[in-house]
Amino acid sequence: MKDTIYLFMSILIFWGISCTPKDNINFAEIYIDFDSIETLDLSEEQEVIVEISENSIIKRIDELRIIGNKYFIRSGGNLFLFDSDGTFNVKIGNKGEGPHEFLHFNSFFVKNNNIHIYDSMGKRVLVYDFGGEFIKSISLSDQFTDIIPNYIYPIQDNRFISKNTFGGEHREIPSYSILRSNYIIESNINGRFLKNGISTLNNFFCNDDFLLFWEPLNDTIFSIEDDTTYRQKYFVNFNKKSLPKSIKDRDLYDAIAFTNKTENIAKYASLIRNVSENESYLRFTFIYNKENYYVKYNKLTKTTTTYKLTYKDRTIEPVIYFSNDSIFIPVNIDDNPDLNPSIIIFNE
Amino acid sequence: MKKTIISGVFALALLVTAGYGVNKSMNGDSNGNMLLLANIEALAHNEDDGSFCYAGGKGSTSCSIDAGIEVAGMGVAGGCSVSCDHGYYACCSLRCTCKKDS
Repeated sequence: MKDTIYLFMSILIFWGISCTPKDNINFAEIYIDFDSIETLDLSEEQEVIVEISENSIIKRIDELRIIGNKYFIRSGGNLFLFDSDGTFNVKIGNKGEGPHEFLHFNSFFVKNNNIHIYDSMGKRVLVYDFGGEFIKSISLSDQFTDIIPNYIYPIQDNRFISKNTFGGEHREIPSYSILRSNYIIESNINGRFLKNGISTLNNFFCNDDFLLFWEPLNDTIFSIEDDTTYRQKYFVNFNKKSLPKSIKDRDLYDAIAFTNKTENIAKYASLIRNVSENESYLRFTFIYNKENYYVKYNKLTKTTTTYKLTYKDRTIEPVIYFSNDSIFIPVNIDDNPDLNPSIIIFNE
Repeated sequence: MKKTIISGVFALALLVTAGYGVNKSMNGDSNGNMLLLANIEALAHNEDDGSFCYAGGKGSTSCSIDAGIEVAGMGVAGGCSVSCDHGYYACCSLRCTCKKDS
């Protein structure tokens, strides 16, 4: 009788554990198989030479976007506009204290066919046309009080998402907020708070169907589900090359220091970014051993292909832009500092 | 103290990579200075009491440092910034943080 009771209780416990809902169960795991990496040599692909002139000297590309038939290149706190053949058009705005200048270049976006530069220090958004002419300034003095956006990007429904500014260790500042069309904060994304002041550019992806974000040294790609909720959507499994959890749990400064140690650069893969998603594919890049890798995950077949990006005698810049079936990849000509980086277009 | 300074210098070095200019902003007072790694490290080395602020400082509510962050041996565009509430001042240096008004 006693044995029967034990058996019954064991079955109940096993059943109970099996049926316990698990957090984040609804995410896709993307497995990076380092034994089957393909090489993508960009040397023979289409090259766009980015014109260098007195007003368009680009040391390195901090942000690259292709909007319409224009290249938007952010470099060193400046925004440059180029034609699709690389011809320099104009530099957008200037840093300064004048009425048409920005004190601090936080982020930029194109809306209503105009270029917007968000200036957190000046508490405003400056609007320019594609010719670089100043149009207007939108004051944000009354919009932000406790939470100050650090980066603002447009999303669906004529709204914005912000990555917010750190408020010190003593405050819980939500990492992300949703802003109305007039830039007033509509809601905060629950459950995610800023732990330090470090920020990196290019941490959002948004199109009509998807709104994603990612963070430094985090192997997860998150999806914002509604005005207040986010969830883990993809987990990138670097297997033996994953940073140890004990490192990821550390203060970000310490974790970054760990990744920069010579012995760890060739040991661990990290820094997921340049994420892009459509109905069929999730695409992104990561860094391993100081080289850029491109991952294409087929959402329908749940298969992953990983490419190591190479270009003979040139350095591939880590800021890569995905657009439909094309990839735009900046490369630096190492032995000629008098040239701007080129942009390689790889058509898949 | 020595340990604090050394670790602080190391943390700042994380923020600045060769080839990147750095500029500072504080409370609408931005001079657009372009400094190199050597300048920043020299400033950091001069810190002697833990209160050094490269940008911000007493009276400032916010500050930021735009610099490259070296992660996994690669330069990443970004920086460090902080915005403080009443009773604190913003200090952007080895780390960006809020310090209590004294």
